[in-house]
Amino acid sequence: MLEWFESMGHWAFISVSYGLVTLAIIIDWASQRAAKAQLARTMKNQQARRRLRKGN
Amino acid sequence: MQRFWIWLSRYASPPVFYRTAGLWRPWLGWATLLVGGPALIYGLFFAPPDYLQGESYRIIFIHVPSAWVSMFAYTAMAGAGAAALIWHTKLSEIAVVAIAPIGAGFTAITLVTGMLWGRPTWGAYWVWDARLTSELVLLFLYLGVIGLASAYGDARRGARAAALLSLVGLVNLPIIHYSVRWWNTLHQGSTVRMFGESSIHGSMLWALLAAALAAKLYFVWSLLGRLQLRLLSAESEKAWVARELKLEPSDA
Amino acid sequence: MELSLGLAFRAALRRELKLAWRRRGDLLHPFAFTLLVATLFAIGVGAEINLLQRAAGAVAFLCVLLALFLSVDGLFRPDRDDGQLDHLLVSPVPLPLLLSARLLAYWLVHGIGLTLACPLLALLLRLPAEQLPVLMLALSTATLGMSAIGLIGAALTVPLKRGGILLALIVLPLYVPLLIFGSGTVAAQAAGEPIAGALYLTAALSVFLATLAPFVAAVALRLGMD
Repeated sequence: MLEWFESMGHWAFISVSYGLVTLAIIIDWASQRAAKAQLARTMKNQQARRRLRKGN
Repeated sequence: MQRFWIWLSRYASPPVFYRTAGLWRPWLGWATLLVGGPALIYGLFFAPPDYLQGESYRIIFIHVPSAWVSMFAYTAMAGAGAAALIWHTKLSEIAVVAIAPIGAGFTAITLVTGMLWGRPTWGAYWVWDARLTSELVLLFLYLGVIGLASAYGDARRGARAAALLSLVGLVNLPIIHYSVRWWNTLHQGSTVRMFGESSIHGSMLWALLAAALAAKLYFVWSLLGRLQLRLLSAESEKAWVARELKLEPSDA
Repeated sequence: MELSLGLAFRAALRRELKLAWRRRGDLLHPFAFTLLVATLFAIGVGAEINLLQRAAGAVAFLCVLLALFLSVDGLFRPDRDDGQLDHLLVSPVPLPLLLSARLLAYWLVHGIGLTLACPLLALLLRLPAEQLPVLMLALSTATLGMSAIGLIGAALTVPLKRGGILLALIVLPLYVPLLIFGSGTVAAQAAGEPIAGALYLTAALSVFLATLAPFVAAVALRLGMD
C-alpha cells in the first residue's frame, strides 16, 4: 500500500497534502453547522418542555 | 483612551459581539476564498517547478502558511488567556478554549504536510529537524491546553486554568525553540535545508504570501464561528440567545 | 505580632523536610523505579554493551526524569485531601513564599535524592566512570527546573480527580529544554568537549523556572479553589 503510494511519485504527495487541507476545511465547516443546528434543537426542546410543565 | 476602553467593553459584551461576528463572517469567508483559491490553484498547477526539488515543493503553499498560523494562533491564545486572567471577561475565556483546537489543527496539518514533503525531499517521512521538532512540541502544548480545559467540570474554571497554562507555554516556547535548535546543531553537523540556495521565484513568493493571508483569514473566520457557538451555549439562559436562534421569546 | 517572612519560609521548609523524613520509606519507590526502567531498557536493547554504553548518559537522565515526574502528582494532592491546602491559601504569609519553600524541599528530597541513584544506574548501564560526576551535576541542576515545572502542573491539576495522563501532557513537553541541555552536558563530556556551556544553560533555565514557578502556581491554586 505504502509502496504503491510512493511509486506514484511527487504528485501523490502533493495531492494528498492538498486533499487533506480541503477535507479539514469541509469538516470544520460542516461540524460548525451541525453544532449550531444541534444547539437550536436542544434549546427548542427545553423551551417546549418548560411550556408543557407550565400547562399552557 | 477612555473612549477606547468603552468601545472595547461594548464589543466584548456577548450579544453585541455575536451580532458583529455574524456580520463579518460572510465577508471573511469570501475573502478567504478569493485570496486563497487563486493562490493554491496557481501553486498547484501554474507555478514553475523548482530546479532542485522538482514538483514536490508545491506543498510549500500549504505547509508554510499553516506553520505560520499555528504559531500565530498560540500567541493569540495566550493573549486571550492574559485578558481572561486580568479582566475576567467571559469572551476572552471562551476565546482561549475556542482557539486551541484550531491551532492544534493547523499544527497537525503543518506536521503531516511536512512529513509528506520530507519523504521525496529527504527520503524519510520524519527527520529530527529543528523546525519540525519544535512544531511537534507545539502540538503537545496545544493538546495540554485542550485537555486541561475539558478536564474541569466547570467550564469557566477550566478555561481559566487553560489560560494560565497557555501563558506558561508562551514563555517556554522561545526557550523550547532555541534549545531544539541548539540540540539540532549538536547532533547533526549540517542540516538539510528545505529551501536553501534555491531562492524563491518572484511570482511564487506572491502566491505564498497570498496563501498565508488566506490561512490567517480562514483562522479568523473559523474562530468567529466557534466563538459564536460557544457564546450561544454559555449564555443559553439569556433572552438574546432565544432571539438569535429565532425561538419564541422565553416566557418571562 | 509582625510575621517575619524569613521565619515563615524557614518554618515551612522545616515542616516539609520533616514530613519527608517521616515518610522516608516512600522515597524508595521512585528510587527502585529508576533502576527498573534502566533494567527494562537494557533487556529491551539486548545487553549490547556498545549501544548501552553510548546511550547510558541519556538513558540515566531519562530514568530520573520519569521517576521525578511520577512524584509530581503528590505535591499538592495529599494536602488537598486532608484540608491542608485550604490552610495554605488562607495563611497570612504570601502564598508564593510558602510554595517556594515547598519547591525547595521537593527538589532537595526528590531531585537530589533521585540523583543519588546515579551510581547504581551507571553500574547497570555501564556508564563510563568519568561521565558519572558530570551526569550527577547536570541532573541535580536540571531537577530544580523540572520540580518547578512540576509545581505548576500539579497546581493546575489539583482540583481534578486525578492528574494522570493529563499531567504528563502538561508537564513533559515543558521538560524538553531541560532534557536537551542536561543530557547535552553529559554528551559534551562524552565527546570530550567543554561542558560549561550546556551546564550553565541548564542552571540558568532551572533558576529562571524556580523563580517564576511559585508565583504561577499560586495563581493556579487560587483559580482552582475559588
